Amino acid sequence: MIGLFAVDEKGNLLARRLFQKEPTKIAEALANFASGKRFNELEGLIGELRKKGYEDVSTSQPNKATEFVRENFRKLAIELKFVKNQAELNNLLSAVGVASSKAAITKVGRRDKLIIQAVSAFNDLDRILNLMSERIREWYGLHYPEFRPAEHEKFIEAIVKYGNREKFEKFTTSMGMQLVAEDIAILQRYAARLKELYVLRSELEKYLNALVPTEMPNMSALLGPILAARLLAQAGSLEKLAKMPSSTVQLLGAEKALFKALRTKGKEVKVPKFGILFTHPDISSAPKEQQGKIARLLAAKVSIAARTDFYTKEDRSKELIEDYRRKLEEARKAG
Amino acid sequence: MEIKEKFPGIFLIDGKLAVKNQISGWRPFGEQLIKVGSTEYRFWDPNRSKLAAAIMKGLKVVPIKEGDKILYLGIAHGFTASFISSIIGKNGIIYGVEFAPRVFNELLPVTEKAKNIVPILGDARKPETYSWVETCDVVYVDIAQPDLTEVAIRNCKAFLKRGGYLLLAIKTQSIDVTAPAKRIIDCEVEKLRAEGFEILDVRSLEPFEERHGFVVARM
Ligand SMILES: C[S@@+](CC[C@H](N)C(=O)[O-])C[C@H]1O[C@@H](n2cnc3c(N)ncnc32)[C@H](O)[C@@H]1O
Repeated sequence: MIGLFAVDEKGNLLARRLFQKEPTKIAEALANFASGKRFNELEGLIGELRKKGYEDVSTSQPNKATEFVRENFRKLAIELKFVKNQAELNNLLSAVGVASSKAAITKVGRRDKLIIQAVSAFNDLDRILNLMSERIREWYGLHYPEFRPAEHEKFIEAIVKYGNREKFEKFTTSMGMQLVAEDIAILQRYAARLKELYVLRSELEKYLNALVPTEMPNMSALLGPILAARLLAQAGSLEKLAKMPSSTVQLLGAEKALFKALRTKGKEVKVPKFGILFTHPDISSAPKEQQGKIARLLAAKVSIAARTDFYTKEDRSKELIEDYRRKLEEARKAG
Repeated sequence: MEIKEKFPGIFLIDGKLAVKNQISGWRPFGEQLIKVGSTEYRFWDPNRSKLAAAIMKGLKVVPIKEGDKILYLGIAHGFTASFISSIIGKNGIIYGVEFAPRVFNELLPVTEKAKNIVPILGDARKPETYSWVETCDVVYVDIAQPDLTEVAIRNCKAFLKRGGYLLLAIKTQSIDVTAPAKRIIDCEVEKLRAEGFEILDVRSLEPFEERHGFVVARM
C-alpha cells in the first residue's frame, strides 16, 4: 500500500521501495503485484537485493515481509515520511481503494457475456457433433452395418482405432461392402477430427462448470451450470434475466411457438407452457398434467435465484432449493 | 428529549439509536437527521443493520471505538459501515471487502464521502488477495455464506491483532435451513471456541432479522 519491502528469514528489513503518493499509481502497483506481473518498483527492489547478494527472492503470500509491514504499517508510513499523520494516510488508503475497485470492476464486470458465448459455442458444438456423427454412421454403415454401438463416441473411437472391419477383434462376417485403403483413410481422418471435437465439447463443459457457479451461484445450484447458462443465453444478460417476470422465464426459448400460438386464432394451437426449462428433469419426467404447475414453480424459483445472483451474488441456494423441494413434493402429492 | 451515550460514540435519542454525523447534512441512505444544539445526529435503523439490531437486543459489549482499524467482510452498500465510520472517526479506518461488483455503485459514493473506508473488491475466502491490509483491532463479518465462520477465523488469524475482537453475524439460513437457528448458532460458536476465541456475547436478532445470530468474541 505504501511501497514494497523485503525482509530476510529472520524478519530483518533488507530493502524497500516506496510508491509514488498517487492513488491511481498505487492501485496499479497493487494490481500488478497481486497478479504476479513485473513492474518498475519490483524490478528495482529485486535488482537491489541481487546486488546485496540475495538471489532467492519470493513474492508468494503469505510471507514474512507481509507480516512485517502489516504489524508496522502505521509506524513505517509516518517514520518514512510517506504521510504526515494518520488522517492523511487514511484518506490516501480510501482513495486507493476507490481507484482499485473502479479498475477491478471494469475488468470483471461482464462475465455473463462470457458465459453466454461459451454456452452458445457448446450448443453449436452439440448440433455439429450430432450432424457429423449421424453422417459417419451412415457412411461407415455401408462397410460394416452390423456395428451399431448406442453411443456416437464409441462408434467413432472404434473407427479411429480399427479402420477396416476386418481389424475388429470380434469381426466374423458382414453384409456391408468391401472398402479399399483410400476409402478407409478418409473415413478415419474424419473420425479423428470428430473425436477431437468431442474432447473440445468436454473441455467447454468443464470450463462452464467452473465459471457458471462463480458468476451465478444460485441459478447454477438450482438448475445445474449448463441449463443455468442456457437460460442466461436466451435472456441475453443476467440483468435482463433478473428483471424478467417469472412467467417470461418459464417460456424462455419457446418464443417461436408462443408467437405462432398468438398469431393463429384457431382452437387447435395450444399456448406453450414451457421453454428450455422443460429440459429440467423435474418437469420433463413429471406426468403431463403436472408439468405446467411444476414449470411455474421452478420458474418462480429461477427468478429469485437470478435476482440474487445479479444484485448480491450471495449464495442462498440452500434455502432456495429446500423451499423448492418442499413445494415440489406438495405439487406432486396434489397431483 | 433524552440523549444517552449507550456506548462510546453510539447514542440513544428517546430510545432510538443514532451516531454523531461527521459530515453535516450527510444521509447517504435517506436516514433521519436531528439537530440537538450544535450537534447533528444520524439515526441508525436496526431493521437495516445487524449491528444496530444486536445493540437494540441488549449487546453488552460493542468493542468499536475512536481510532479503531476494522476489517469488514461483506460490506455490501456500506449501510452499517457508514455508522461504524462515524464511531471510529478520521483516525480510524475500515477495510471493506465485498465480492459483488454491483453494490459498488452505491458503496463508492459512501466511501468517497466518509474518507475512512477502503473499498476492496475481493473474495473474503481469499485473504491473500488483500494481503496489504494492516493488522486490525476488529474483524466484522457479515457474509451470509455456509462457511462464514471458517472464513471469519481465517481472516482473524491473518489480520486481527492479539486481543482483538471478532463481530460475527450468523445467517443460519445460509448454513442449514432445517435445523433450529439456536442449534446452528451454538455450533458456530463452538467452532470459535475450539479456535481459542473467548465468547463475550451471543444475541439472537429476532424480530429485526429472522433466524440470525450475532456473536462478539475476543481472540
Ligand atoms: C447481508 S449482506 C451485508 C450487509 C452489510 N453488512 C450491512 O449491514 O450493511 C452480505 C454481503 O456479503 C457479500 N459476500 C458474500 N460472500 C462474500 C465473500 N466470500 N467475499 C466478499 N463478500 C461476500 C455479499 O455480496 C453481500 O453483499
